[in-house]
Amino acid sequence: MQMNGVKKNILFILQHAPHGNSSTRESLDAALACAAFDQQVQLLFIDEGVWNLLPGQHAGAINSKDTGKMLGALAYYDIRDVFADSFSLQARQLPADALAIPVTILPADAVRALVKHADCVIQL
Amino acid sequence: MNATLHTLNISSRENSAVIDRLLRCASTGDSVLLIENGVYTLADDNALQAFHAAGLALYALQVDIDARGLQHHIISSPVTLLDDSGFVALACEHHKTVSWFA
Repeated sequence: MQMNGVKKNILFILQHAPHGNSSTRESLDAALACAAFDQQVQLLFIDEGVWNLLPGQHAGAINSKDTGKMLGALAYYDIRDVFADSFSLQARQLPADALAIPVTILPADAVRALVKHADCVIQL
Repeated sequence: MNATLHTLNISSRENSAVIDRLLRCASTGDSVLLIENGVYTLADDNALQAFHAAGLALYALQVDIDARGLQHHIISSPVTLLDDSGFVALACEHHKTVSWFA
């Protein structure tokens, strides 16, 4: 389904750790909705947002919902452009090869270019 | 017309992570508009220098400055002051607007 044939490149910036608030879940909900309407969706995990990529989270232990399942659904919505800020991963000693889902690691210049070239940037 | 307008609504000293992220995502030639408590950033020389070094044009909403009594604090700041219609015009001059907030 297309909206008047207009396909926009929509970038979601995820900058919050999971569970402290609902921002990550709301961003992922919105991203999946945009993808369902055939928009070109991109996700950028940056700063505390990269903690969402840590595998082995058991959110049920704190009666919260697992964002990991939503991350796993991205591929089914054809969301392939999932990026993580290299600096943020390194600062938190998160190994790029052991994340919950496959992501493309971006150096500083590429992060800047990603924001520059998006049609629309959303942060929740 | 390919430039981005970044709005910032929080003091750089109150939440330095937000301004740091803005600086990592903005490109030379972009603009920053300080709104709400973001206008306190005009009293933060380090932040102003960082904007300048990054090649970002700086704007602020006059009413938010006046509301906080900052009008005499910012005389030397390299900032362009806008009213609401100036805000709208600035948004129209840019390709998109990105909101930085906390």
